Amino acid sequence: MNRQSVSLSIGVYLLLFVATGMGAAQSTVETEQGIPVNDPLIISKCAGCHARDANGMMRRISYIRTTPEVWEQILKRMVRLNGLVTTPEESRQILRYLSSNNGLAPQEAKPVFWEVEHRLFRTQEEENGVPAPLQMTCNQCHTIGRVLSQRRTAADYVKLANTHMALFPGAEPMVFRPTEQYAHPEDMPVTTTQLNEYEDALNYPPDPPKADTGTKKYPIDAALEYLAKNQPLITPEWVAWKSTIHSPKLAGVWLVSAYQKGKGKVYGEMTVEPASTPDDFSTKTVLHYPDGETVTRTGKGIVYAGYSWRGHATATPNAGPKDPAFPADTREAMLLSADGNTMDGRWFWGGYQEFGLDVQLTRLQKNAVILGFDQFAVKSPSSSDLHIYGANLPVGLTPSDFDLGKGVQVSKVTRSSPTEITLQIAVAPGLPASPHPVSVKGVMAPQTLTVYQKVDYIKVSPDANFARLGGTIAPKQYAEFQALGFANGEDGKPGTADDVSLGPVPAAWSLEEFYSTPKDDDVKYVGCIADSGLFTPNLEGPNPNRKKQSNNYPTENWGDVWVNALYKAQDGETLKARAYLVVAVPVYMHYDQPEVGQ
Amino acid sequence: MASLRAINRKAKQVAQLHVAEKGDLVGLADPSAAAGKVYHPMGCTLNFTPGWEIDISGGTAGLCQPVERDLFDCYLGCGWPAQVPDHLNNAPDWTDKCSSGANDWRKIDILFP
Repeated sequence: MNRQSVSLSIGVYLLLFVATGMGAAQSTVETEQGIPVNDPLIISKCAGCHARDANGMMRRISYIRTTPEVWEQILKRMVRLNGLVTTPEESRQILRYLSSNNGLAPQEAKPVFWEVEHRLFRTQEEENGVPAPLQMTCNQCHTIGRVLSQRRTAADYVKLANTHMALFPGAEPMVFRPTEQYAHPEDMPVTTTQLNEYEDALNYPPDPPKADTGTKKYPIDAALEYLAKNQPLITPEWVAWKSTIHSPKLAGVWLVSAYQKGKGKVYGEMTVEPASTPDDFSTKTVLHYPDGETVTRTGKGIVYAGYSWRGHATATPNAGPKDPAFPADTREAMLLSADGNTMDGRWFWGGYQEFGLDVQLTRLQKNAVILGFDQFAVKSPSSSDLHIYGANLPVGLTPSDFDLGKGVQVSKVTRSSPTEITLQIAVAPGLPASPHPVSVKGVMAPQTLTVYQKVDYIKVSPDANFARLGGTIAPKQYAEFQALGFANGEDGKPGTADDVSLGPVPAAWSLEEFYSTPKDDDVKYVGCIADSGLFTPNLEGPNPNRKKQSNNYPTENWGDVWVNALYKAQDGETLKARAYLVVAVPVYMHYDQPEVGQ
Repeated sequence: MASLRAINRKAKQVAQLHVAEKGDLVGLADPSAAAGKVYHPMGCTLNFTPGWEIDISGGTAGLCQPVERDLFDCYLGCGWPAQVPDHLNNAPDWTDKCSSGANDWRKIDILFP
């Protein structure tokens, strides 16, 4: 900016500053009840700036509740910008105290647990139901999980907005109080019709609204209103939970029932043992993959706020680690149930935590339990092996002890142990496509075995996916695809309510040019897809072999392509399906807090 | 387009674009689901000026130039504060070893704020 415009804009900013200070919705004076902070370490480290009053209220800290991840983000910012000095051990203590004293109730954490699981949905808008006022502000720059994970007083949300504007000055004119140049339509375009209308409006903007300085509601005002109303500091759930927080008794054996996209169903067990404090545990896990591989992991876990597990484990090295989908070094986020007998969550890894095992852990008790089996669906007619996993299963079983529904016979029990049963099964011809309940001596399996005659159509899951270039200074973000098989069901028509899901089917994968720019040849540059459905992106950085058409300068390996799946049935018929993949550049900042599990 | 025929290269490109936009429904089992929807993946900024990962139409065609060549504008302009560090407060020395974005981009760090 040149000197003249700087002095002019100072005047404008002063006016804006005064104006915002006057707005009734923008008060930063705390009038609401806060949460007392009584930990001596926090008082000694933080009270220098965050003054503590006679009631134990510390400025800012007492008016915020959130997850361990967001507390760690806050702590790191205090070190980076505000001169806080702590040792790693002190940081851990501070984090644990704040995550409990100023944490979330399980009912508050559960709907947004995907954020700490680092779960990537298809899109932000559709799956997560991001509230519109937040989508137009917070969600413009970063994902919404960290916002939905917070509970603050109205005044503290105003301070949060002010901190954003102070650290990132562009936030105000571009997003919070947009000038006409940046003003967005009411909704982010979701359909191509909306997109066309949006682009038309950019080229032929409507007349600007009449100046209305007194009562204009900017996007930031709507966001602050929404947050103060829907995510207040004190909630009934929190008041109820706070008084019951205690270190859970987790020592013992937990049965693992998991699913890894691209690999299938995974079963095993985790042995949890107490460690240095009542909230610390050490773990040893054994996992059985459907291809026969067994993976052993050792690690540790920490429980925050009495229910929120964060862990870290490394696997016994074997041939696996060359495969990015192998869980060599994984982090864990799990939520303990109210009755203390199950933990649900995700064990994740990858440069962008894109790989994951969706896990459900069940405490081993005395009763017989079936976790599940390795196949989703079996063909009519066919014969194959079936592996059933569980615990405390009866031994010495014979074929008559099993019920797999009409037309499915057990020809032989090859193996019968308390944790694993292997059967040879024979499926009769002519059975209609349908799920069959499975039981062993009266113990029901939690999943069904689907019988089908023919795969009638396939779909690629997900139908739209995202990868990032990397491998030089940034990690790659891989993209996993799988082909799902379906039978038409009773009505014989695809895409109707009675269609039967058959689970993943093997497919041949290929990339195809998606027409966006003539001769961009994206397929040559974005990367490659393996037989397993795993897409590996290319390197980041300007590619000297790829010159942009408009100038002679090397451009990047980004692009958008179709991903095609080809399924070949036993009778030779081929079925096709496709998905959309966009491959983009890396990000240079990773909002990630691996220390919560260390 | 049935009664029209492309007779030069540019017209052929126009014809190609028309066919491409109509889409190929081979293999799309449920065409109504994905058709006509703009895909903004999770993890991408929704700040489209023109965009960091994707442009507003959900693709890469509208992005302007290689990140590395435009690094200083992205960094100093703070257009994408969740994707690129900012020079004002959080990472003032991020490009100290990088005098030319296009040549020295391999020397910059990934940050974990």
